[in-house]
Amino acid sequence: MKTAETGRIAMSTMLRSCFLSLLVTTLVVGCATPPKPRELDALEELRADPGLSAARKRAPDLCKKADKALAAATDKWQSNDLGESVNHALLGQIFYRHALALADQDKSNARIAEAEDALAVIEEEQKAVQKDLDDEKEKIGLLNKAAQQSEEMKSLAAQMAADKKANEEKLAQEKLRADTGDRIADAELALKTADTVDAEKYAPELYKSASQILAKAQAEFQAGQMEQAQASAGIAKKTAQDAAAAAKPSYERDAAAEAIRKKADAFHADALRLPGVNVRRDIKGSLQRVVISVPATLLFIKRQTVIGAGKDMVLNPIGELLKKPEYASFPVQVIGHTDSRGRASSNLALSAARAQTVYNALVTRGVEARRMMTNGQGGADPIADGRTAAGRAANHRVEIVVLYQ
Amino acid sequence: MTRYATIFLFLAFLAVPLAARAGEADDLQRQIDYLKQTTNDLERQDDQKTVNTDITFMRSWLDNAWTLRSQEKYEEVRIVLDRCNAQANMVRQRLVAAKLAAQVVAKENEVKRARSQLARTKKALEKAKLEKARLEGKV
Repeated sequence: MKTAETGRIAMSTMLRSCFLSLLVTTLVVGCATPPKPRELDALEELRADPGLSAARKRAPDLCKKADKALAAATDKWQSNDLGESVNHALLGQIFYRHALALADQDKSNARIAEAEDALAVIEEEQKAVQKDLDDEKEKIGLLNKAAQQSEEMKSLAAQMAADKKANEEKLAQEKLRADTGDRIADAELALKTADTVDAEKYAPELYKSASQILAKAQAEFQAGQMEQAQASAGIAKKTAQDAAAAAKPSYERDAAAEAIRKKADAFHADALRLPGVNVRRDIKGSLQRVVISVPATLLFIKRQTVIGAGKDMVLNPIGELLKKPEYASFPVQVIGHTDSRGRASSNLALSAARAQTVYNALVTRGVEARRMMTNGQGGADPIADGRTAAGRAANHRVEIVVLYQ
Repeated sequence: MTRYATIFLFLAFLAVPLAARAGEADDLQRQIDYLKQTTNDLERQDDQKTVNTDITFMRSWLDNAWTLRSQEKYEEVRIVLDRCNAQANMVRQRLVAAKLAAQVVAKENEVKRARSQLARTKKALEKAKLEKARLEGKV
């Protein structure tokens, strides 16, 4: 019981002492240190700023002042002088922040310098790259221009090629046209040549065919069908040449005959102008002839065979006529004739002798001997009635016969 | 005469401290006015509003100084004014720092733009080289 009482008393004493201790402690603490001012807390936070180390290097005086202010503020706070503590804390804050601002300025200046350096490097590189770019652009411009010129050249070349081709085609057309014209002209010439041999007359079928084919060729030429026209012109030319070839012999023969006939006409006309002689033309078979009949009385005296004195004058114009070059190709017969009285052999000899005499006289006058031949026919070919004296005189004659076909 | 002189000297003795205190009040008044003007100038310079709070504090401190001056607590006024001067100097430096920071931003933006321009120019150069190669092949 006593122990319990003692314990209760002890417990009570202990509780009382604890309460008193707590009360005393609370009073002591409460009276010793007032709550820390916010400004001091802020200053302490500021002092812990990581940027402050840089600020200390930049502005050591300010930082020292701030440190002193912090110490003073803490001291004043601990001395319960809160007003002074706050004042010092605020001053400390100001100094720290001032120092921080200066450090920030330095940092900014450094960054500006760094940025300017970087900018300078970039600008330099930009200039170099821009120059390269400008160079490239200039080259591209030149290349574009060259490409454009190349395109223009190509276009021009293509145009020229097209023009050349067109010209060539035109030339080919013109050449073809010209060739065709030439061939048609050749065919026309061939037809004209055929005309010269009178092919229309001597080779009428071929000539007509050639004319028709030529007309066809001309029509085709006008229609622009050159190849057909050329072919037709070729055929026309060939046909015309064939017609000319076919007609030529007949034409030449007829032409020659005509020439001889004309020559003979001329000779006949010339002979008619001879004095004292009789001239006639007659036909014997295919031969034609001009007969210059010289009465024997003009040349001979009675039955002589030599030309009487002064009677050879009549032969001079005959000789001149026969000698003319245009008549030099005519063969000449000198034929003697008598009347039919007397013996035939005697008449024949007389006539032959007289023919020979005239022959000699003509040779003497320059007529070629090889053109001439002589013949005595006696009284076999009278031209007048032998029963009269005039007729017999007329039958005594020498005939110079010019022959032609 | 001696009695009057004594009285005069006594009165003079009393007047000198009074006059000195009046001069101190005026001086503090001028300082407060000057600092208020300074505050206005600083506020005008703070176009980025970076020191707005500091200026507000300064104004409140100056108001406090004015009150303390009215209460003729000149010593406390001087303490507050010293703080205001320090604050003004600090604000000036912070303004300079802010301007420099703005310059940093502008400069770094300029660098960024220049880099971007450089990258574009390089790209254009590569493109131009390809174009040139194509044209050379064509021509």
